[in-house]
Amino acid sequence: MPFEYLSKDGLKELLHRLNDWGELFWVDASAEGKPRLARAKKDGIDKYKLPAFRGVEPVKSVIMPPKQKVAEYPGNIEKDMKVVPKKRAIFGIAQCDLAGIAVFDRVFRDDHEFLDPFYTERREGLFIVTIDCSEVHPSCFCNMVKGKPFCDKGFDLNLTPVENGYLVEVGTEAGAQMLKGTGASKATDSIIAEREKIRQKSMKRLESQNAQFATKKSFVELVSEVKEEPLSYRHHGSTCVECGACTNVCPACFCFGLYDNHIEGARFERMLTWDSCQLAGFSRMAGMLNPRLRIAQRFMHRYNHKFYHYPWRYEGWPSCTGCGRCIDNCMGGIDMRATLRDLSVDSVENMLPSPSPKVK
Amino acid sequence: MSELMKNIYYPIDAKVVEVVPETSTIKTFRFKLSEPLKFRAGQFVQLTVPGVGEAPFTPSSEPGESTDLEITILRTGRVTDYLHDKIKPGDPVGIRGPFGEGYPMDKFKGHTVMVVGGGVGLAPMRAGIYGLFQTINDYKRVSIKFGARSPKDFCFVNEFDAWGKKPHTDLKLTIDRPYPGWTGTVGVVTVLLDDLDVDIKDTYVISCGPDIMLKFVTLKLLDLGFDPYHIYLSMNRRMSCGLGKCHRCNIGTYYICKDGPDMCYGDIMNFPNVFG
Repeated sequence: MPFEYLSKDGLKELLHRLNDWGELFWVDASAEGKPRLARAKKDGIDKYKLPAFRGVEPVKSVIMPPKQKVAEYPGNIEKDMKVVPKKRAIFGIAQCDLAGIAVFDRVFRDDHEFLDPFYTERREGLFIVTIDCSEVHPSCFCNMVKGKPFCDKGFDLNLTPVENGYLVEVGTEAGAQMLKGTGASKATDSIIAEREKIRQKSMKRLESQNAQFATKKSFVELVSEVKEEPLSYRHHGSTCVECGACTNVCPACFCFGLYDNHIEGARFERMLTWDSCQLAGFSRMAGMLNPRLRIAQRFMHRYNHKFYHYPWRYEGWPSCTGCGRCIDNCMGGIDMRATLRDLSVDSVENMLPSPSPKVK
Repeated sequence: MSELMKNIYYPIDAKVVEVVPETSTIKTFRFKLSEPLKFRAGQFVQLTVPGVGEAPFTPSSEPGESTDLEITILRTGRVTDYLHDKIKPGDPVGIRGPFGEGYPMDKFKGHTVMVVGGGVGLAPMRAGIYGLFQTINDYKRVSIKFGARSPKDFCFVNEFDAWGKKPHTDLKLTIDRPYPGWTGTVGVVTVLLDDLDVDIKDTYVISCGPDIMLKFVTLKLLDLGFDPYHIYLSMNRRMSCGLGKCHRCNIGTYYICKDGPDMCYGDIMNFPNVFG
């Protein structure tokens, strides 16, 4: 796919084009603090700042809202749905969020036995603009879960900030069309070479900050080999307060629940909401039986799902993308990297501290 | 792109036709569906009680394609309490499904099938038994072993005689504690596995009941020398979607909703908390 060079004004033009084309969401770093996911505003385009790393929020809310209506019954009216893809764009997401979308795709889009029409509607019309991470957040660890601080594929356009502008990699024909009229010009070889340097620099930074968590075996291998509740889960999981923050901020956590509401008269609606496997009610059955009653069991279940069950079902892919948001948001100071690193450690003395030092 | 897609979360309309009390805590609900449902032995459905919720049940009626469906339900939680207390003929409900793999009936062909059920576990077993009866000559023998707390706690007692008279089929019952007038076996259902007269190497077992029963039935079968891959257990887990997506009903890598609900014990035996 071709590479184009886009000026700073060209970027604004691209945002205007996307905003006119459909519903635009962006990760914006113009405000104080960290990049935030938000619905784009036309009058905010001039101030928009491309993030240097992933945003505070995952983008999963764009493809699967926290709460959505999936049926109204009775009447057999909506049992077959006319699916009209929504024209939506997400701008400025990092590889960890793109990998999160791939985690959802395997479950909701690619399972041909049970295709989710609501997901299809949001996903099929989705235009994706990714970024290369030119900086690394202290909790980032995508390099440890088959990820990288940049995207190879799966995007319509990918942006790398370079001198006075951006290098754009065009991923799809839709991406090429969107770029027309923005003043983009063919990128020079030296700019393309500059991108490679930026990528290598970010990768090196990631490897260096995560060196203390390195393991000989991959996280998927380590977790898959665990049979009994290991010491590491007890050591690091002991400060879990079962708030569910880790699953809410995770770009790859897709577990959900269905519940029904009364509308009026004899009409009812079915709602689909995000749920959390860290909450006791998640697997509690009628009669109060619960195969995952203890926090430690639920803690282990989460790691198992991400690094054992999901990869087992989906060709080795973990359902953790290494974004580190669970680390940032854990009130108990639980660091997923430390927990996984200590799976192969057999005594608490040799484990990393729990709670983990808070990352900033 | 614009195409018609099935809404996997939508319950098709159904109506309650009849409510038949089986025991003091178990009732059979007969439903008329607005469109035919085709299910195999061992598959389950999600029953919607409007405004109350959805819960998974294996039908107790004969597998096949029909607009008639029976589900036999023990009162044990929010949805089932409502069903027992409030639901009456004519009331609307919803059905999603069928879900799950069901029993591997082809694998059972040419072999003996032993059916071990306890309490309300007889309900889904009944669909399994009807499924076996549909092609009874495909199996060497069908041996049914049922247990209940007392003679009053057996469902489908009116059908037992007929079942016992089917070709190469036998039925044995037991109750947990002695009961006035009961002259049969006393003890939990595992006592019916003592002095087995089946060829263990040639027998498949399907079992349904509470977790504690499944556990001790399995341990007993293994003690007797059964191959773990010949034991199929109807596993109990909380479910929501039934589609292998919401990830709450899993045992290890398997989804009970998609890969079960009758799981081959050999496949799940190395996972933690198999029996709750």
